[in-house]
Amino acid sequence: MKHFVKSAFLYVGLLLSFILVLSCIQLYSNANALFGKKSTDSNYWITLSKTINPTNIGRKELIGFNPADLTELKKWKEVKDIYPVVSNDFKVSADGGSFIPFYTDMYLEAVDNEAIDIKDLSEFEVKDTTIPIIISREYLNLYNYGFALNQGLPQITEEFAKKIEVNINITLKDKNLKYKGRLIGLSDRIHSVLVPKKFLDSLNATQTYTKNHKDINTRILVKVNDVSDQDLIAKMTEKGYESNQESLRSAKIKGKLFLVLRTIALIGVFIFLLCIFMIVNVIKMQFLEKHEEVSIKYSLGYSPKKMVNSISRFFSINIALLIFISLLLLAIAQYYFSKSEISNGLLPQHIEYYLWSFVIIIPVFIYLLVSKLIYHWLLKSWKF
Amino acid sequence: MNSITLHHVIPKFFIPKTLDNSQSIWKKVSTFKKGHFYIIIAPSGSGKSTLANAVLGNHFEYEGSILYDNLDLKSLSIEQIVNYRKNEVQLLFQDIRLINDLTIRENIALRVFNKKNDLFETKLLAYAQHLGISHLLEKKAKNCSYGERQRAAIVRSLIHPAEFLIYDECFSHLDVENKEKAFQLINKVAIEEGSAVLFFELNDFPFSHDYNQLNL
Repeated sequence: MKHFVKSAFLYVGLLLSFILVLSCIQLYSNANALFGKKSTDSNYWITLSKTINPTNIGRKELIGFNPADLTELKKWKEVKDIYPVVSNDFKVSADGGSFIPFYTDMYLEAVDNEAIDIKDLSEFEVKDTTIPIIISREYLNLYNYGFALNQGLPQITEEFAKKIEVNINITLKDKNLKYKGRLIGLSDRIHSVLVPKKFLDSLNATQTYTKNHKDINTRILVKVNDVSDQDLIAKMTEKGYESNQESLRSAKIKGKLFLVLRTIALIGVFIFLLCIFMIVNVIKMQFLEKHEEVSIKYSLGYSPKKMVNSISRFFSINIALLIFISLLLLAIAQYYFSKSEISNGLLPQHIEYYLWSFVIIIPVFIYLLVSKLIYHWLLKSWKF
Repeated sequence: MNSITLHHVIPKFFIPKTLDNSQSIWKKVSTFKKGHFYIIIAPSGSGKSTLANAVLGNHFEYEGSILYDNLDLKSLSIEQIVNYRKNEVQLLFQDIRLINDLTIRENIALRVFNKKNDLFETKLLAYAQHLGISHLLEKKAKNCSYGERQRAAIVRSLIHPAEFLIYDECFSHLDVENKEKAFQLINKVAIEEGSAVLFFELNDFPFSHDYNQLNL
């Protein structure tokens, strides 16, 4: 009875450790499915800017990224590509003409087309006097759910917004230009008012004071593999760079989740090692309890190696069964997890296939380890 | 295996009483050949059990060498030595060594290495009958007397006899009649199997025999 209770505790401990470790591996895979996998194929976009402080306020050359900053940024292994955002170096205003009576000063920015998250950019070219514009979806939301509701104005759909034309007034050093501005799309990636880069560059080039701030970019769009990369976040903090909050929030959630998973996995591994230690000691105790019997068998011609192997085999088979049960429970849990709302259809219904190989690998490892340890101990401890 | 040779063997940690005896086999070259019979007589403290255990390969606390044919026992691994015990060398210890919780039958069966067959059963019954322990076969070893256990151990040594049968004071708890019966049985089986027999005894047997007598 005492032996049974001892073994039961041992096996419950092992089952617990296997469930913990295997769950963590599966949860890691699930987290990758939900938050995006860290791989060279993954692309995440963050907008980098320098943190504003009393030293750099109002000084574009300090608040922006100079060519040296960009060169260094390109060298970061976490960074796949960078796209500097160019802003206007001249005065811009917009009005609604007689159709919509409004006037506002505004700004324009531009970035390479590759960085813009709109599929069809065929219309993103200045034709005659019409400037195609891309704004952040957030701006439209701000109008619809903030400004329009408070002011009693009608909400505007994306399609309707694309039909509205506004006057864009550009004041250059030596002349004034009038253009029609027309929305061609909304961006989820870039919080800005974007116009074609070629167009903005050509206007900036006409300004003499541009030279002071030449090649200074206040914001940079950065393509990375993984926004939760702790090295990337550490480097950004060190350099005093900030990023858009949405990406960071996701990064923080993912980072914390992985930290929790790693901690649980570590506890599982600790319990597993403890159980291996217990297995070795239980086998030792069995040998000690049966010392006389084993010694007699040894003197009669029974191989100590075979005796040790036979008991290790028994434990390994039990461990294989425990891993199988753990995986079965995990597979059932995964199935229901994948069907739940939280998975949002992103999780697979089955557990990672390679996990099933542990049914063989871990018991074989334990068999070899325990056999070796016990045999070594046995030969050292026996006094015939 | 055809021979066991003691080559200038002497215990490391004690000096046998009989070391200075000119007839002693300590520190000499002695060869025991398969199919021959020996009785090695020595008083207490002369190292009988030490030598018997050394010949089995249970320890290496001696100077000199013990050879299985031409192989030095010290050069063999534990597993190789154990392998020799199946068919080549076996020892019946002075302290008998039966497993207390097993029956006499189970204890005897240990020597056939889980390969019981009809021949085993026939031999077992015949030998047990000869030594008068047939009625004890299903009894646990711990419930038997020392003499009964000694006879059971002798049966175990003969059920699957090796080429060299070594007995260390194996008749110590038997009366003369049982001693002779056991001796006759061992002798008969050894002749049938072509095995060598080495008895380590305090005194010569109280019955006639034609064994080579040596001193330790």
